Amino acid sequence: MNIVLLAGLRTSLARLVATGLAVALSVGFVVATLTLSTTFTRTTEQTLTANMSHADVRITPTVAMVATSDPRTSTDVLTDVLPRVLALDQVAGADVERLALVELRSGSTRSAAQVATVLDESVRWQQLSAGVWPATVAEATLDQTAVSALGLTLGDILSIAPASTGVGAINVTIVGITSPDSAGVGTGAPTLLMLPAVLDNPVYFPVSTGVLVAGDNIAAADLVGAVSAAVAGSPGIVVQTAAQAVDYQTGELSGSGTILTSILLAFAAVALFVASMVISNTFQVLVAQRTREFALLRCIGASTAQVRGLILGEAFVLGAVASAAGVALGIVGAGALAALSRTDSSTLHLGELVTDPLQLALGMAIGMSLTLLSALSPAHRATRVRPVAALRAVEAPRTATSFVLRAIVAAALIAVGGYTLVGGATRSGLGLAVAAGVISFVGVLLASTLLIPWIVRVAGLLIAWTSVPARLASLNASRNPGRTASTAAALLVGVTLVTMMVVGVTSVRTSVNDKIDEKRPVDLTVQTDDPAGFTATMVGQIAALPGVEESAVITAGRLGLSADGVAEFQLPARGVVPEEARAVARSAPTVAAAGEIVLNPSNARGLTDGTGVTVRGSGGERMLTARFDPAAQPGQVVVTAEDLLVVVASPTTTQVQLRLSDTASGAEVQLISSGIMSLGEDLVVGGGAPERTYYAQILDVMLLIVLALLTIAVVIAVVGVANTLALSVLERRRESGLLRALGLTRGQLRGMLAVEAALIALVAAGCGVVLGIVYAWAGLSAVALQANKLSLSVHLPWDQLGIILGGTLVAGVLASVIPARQATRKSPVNALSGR
Amino acid sequence: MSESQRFAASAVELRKSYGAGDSAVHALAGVTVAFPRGEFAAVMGPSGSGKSTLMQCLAGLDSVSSGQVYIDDVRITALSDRALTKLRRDRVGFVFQSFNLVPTLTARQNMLLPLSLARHRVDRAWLDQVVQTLGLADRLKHRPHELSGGQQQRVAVARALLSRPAVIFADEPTGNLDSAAGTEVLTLLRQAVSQLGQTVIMVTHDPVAASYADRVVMLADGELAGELANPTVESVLSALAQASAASPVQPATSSRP
Repeated sequence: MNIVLLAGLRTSLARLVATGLAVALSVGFVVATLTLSTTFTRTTEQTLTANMSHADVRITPTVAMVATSDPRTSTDVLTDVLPRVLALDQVAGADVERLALVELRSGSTRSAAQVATVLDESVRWQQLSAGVWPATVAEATLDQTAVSALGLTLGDILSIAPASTGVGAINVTIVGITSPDSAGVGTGAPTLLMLPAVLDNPVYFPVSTGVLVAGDNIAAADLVGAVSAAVAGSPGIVVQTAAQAVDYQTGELSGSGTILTSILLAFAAVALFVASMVISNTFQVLVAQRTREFALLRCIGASTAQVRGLILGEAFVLGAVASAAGVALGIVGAGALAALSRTDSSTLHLGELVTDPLQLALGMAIGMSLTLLSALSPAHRATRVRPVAALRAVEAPRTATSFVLRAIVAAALIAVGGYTLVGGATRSGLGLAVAAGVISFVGVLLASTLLIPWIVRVAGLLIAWTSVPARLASLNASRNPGRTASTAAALLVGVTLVTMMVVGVTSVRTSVNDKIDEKRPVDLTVQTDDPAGFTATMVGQIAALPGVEESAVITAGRLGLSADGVAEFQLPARGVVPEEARAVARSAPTVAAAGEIVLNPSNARGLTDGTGVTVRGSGGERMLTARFDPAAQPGQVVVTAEDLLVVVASPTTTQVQLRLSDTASGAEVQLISSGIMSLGEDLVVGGGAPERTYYAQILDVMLLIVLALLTIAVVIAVVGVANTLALSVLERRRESGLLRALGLTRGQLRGMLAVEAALIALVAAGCGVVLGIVYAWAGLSAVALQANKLSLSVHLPWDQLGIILGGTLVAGVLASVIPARQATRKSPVNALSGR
Repeated sequence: MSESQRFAASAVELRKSYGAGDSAVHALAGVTVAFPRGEFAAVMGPSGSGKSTLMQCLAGLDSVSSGQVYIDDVRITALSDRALTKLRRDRVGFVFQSFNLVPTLTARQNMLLPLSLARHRVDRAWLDQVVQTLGLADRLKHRPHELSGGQQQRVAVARALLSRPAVIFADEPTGNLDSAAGTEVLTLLRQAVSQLGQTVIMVTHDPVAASYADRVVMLADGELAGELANPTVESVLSALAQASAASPVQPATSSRP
């Protein structure tokens, strides 16, 4: 039987390449995820160990304390305990580690950086590769990586400003360069070391992260006892030996790493699932094509177990080879990502790649069992081939399915899953919705075997009239319903998930934007502390800044309001130009028409809606009509700028409102803000744009990462399409020969395969997009339900949905290229004779 | 070329070799033969004599090593693949031993396939006449697996006839049929030649099938080994025996038509 197995492998090797690729890709994903996770933990450990290379004991604030401490108001416990620790006889030296985030400016470059304090020599772990340690507050060291990235040398001058405000920059001279090992974990940002005095300025929001203590000829454990006794009574700190501290912090940091790993592994599971569909489909087709061969083997005395063993043997070899390739692929991929993380633009610097043999073995085992399990059902089918089949000509075999059973199970799963999904989405919440979503999707996948061939047939009818190749393609696509369905189903999984994510994120983004627009209708507001208000020149300068699309000016004055039977009372007034205000605002702003005064009903004081109000200011008096608006801000009234000018002698311009481009990024908003602030010392910038760009950026990055991860599943599915097509081409070799003999050109043959692939891809993509939208709706409703008061509505990003459909179509057509080359390479006579 | 006007298909010094050097196999070792219009010719010879190769080269299905092939006065050995494909669908009809029909298409669609591929209009009267002649009127909507072997082969004959090709090549058309169905198909081919003026070149190893032809061309070891006009089963059998015994170095007894 081994000879048969080897011979079979040799002949079907080409047919298994694509399947092997699917296995390798998914195994590679798993291995890369595990390896990167381990590398992250090891890097963390190494960095922390390096940080404590001279310390024996570390005093660490508990996490909660860091989170709640406001450095400006709360007293810094660590700084407080330092003198007590230093007073101990057993202590050779100790110092507090403090850190602040700053904006670093070098020439025209601005980047985020951190300033850490130069530690006392006894515990200082950083090492200089050039220069000296800073001696004054105007000196600093910078790490080697940043020095080369910014193109600096010793003696160059930089300026730094607090990251929170960006104002009050100071100049510092680079006097030393620290070696790259001192970069620290979790950040690839340039690190400056400066004297502690610099960070005593509260504008920097310095954070104390720990106290390093070096002992004087004393065991670390004993030193812990001594230090603990000295700091007893100070809340929110723990005293640990250096080794304990490393373990503790590694645990803290890789805890978040574990969550990340789990999320990544969930995506890997999707890739594995899709791969298993591709594998199963391939073996299904191979078994169908080799019916005669199996029958012959049975005729000459092979048992069913031997036939089963033949298929499983092939699967075993395929699984082993492809998984090994996948492990290699995963290590190479993880290595590439780790190398990428060491470049300047990354915010996370990973150390040397750590490959754990156990994890590699796990990846290998997953790949092999995936392949074997996926081959089980086709192997079982092979055993049902009866010996007599060898003796008669076999028509193109049809995949037999227990139709009724499958239909019932599918319908039941969809019904239960769908009902529960709606319940989860509208009443119960996220947990139920996710479970129901998975159940109903399994149902959909089962049903797809029954439904997709029908949809393909209908779609085929729509194009069949265009040309003969199109008609043949549409007939071919629905020829092996099972095969077409499982090919499409693999693609369906990917497209559904991609659509769900795209629709979900777009909806959240739009809903958040709407909310921000409603609460903060103006992108940027500029106010001044100067009592005289803005000068016209200044308003002009602000409005002329690049990136500003519209601007509106708010004038202000004090008004006395009175009416028949209502004593005069004073309220501040805002004068707006209605057209300007509407052009600037992203949601309907409170504006007054000419001759109108708008006020919140809470400020009525006896005035009635729609009646006349006598308005008196420093410059005169006028009769205006009151309009109550619950949306108006309480405690002030709104009139037109023109009306305000009539009653108030010289209203001051107190606010300038700006509308920015819809596509402005966070960096652009930042640039405009600093541009405004450079116009005058007393200007204050606010508004909704920073918030909006902040959320948009987070959501965009999230979407990008998720899509990148899902792409692997889609790529595997497209490999599956190419695979199915290639197998069908082999099977229809004689038919292709006949068609060529009858006058089908090579181009038409290629076109026929492209149309077949496009049909399958388009049907899968279409169904996937519809399903994805349904699941996105369910997910959004469930999330909205879970997070009370958050209203999320579904927004369909038509352009992105178009890209999904178009992209899948193109991928499908591309998948037909290689099989088509195979099909057209054969001369018709070779194909006909089966040579 | 004036003489060739009379011929639907002809080959001049046709050679076809597989492999190279000492191990080369010469399937056709310089064959010159011509088939007049309106003739029902049979090509015979023992296994490995090159009869199938000759047909495939004549039909433009396979490339030749040297020599020329003419179909309807067109030198097809000089044509590109695209031009050859066009010529096949316009001027050549095929009937194969098996796997004659596209399984996904109905009988009618199969018949019209070459015309559809060429985007030519269907001559309704001609279609009706062919369908009537071949007795397929009630089978048009059936798919190949719903037809008997004889019916499938009749559909193939109909497909070949419909485009009114210069020549129909039939490769062992009765090879997979029982004798009744075989007789039926051969009678149809005979009718196509006698009544419709169609040219048919049939490759066969069956003396009974060959006896339906106007002329039998014998091949042995890739060379012409004689020919027989108005063959009968007996004359074919004796000629075959002769051809098998004949040594390839002996001068061929053929006379140029």
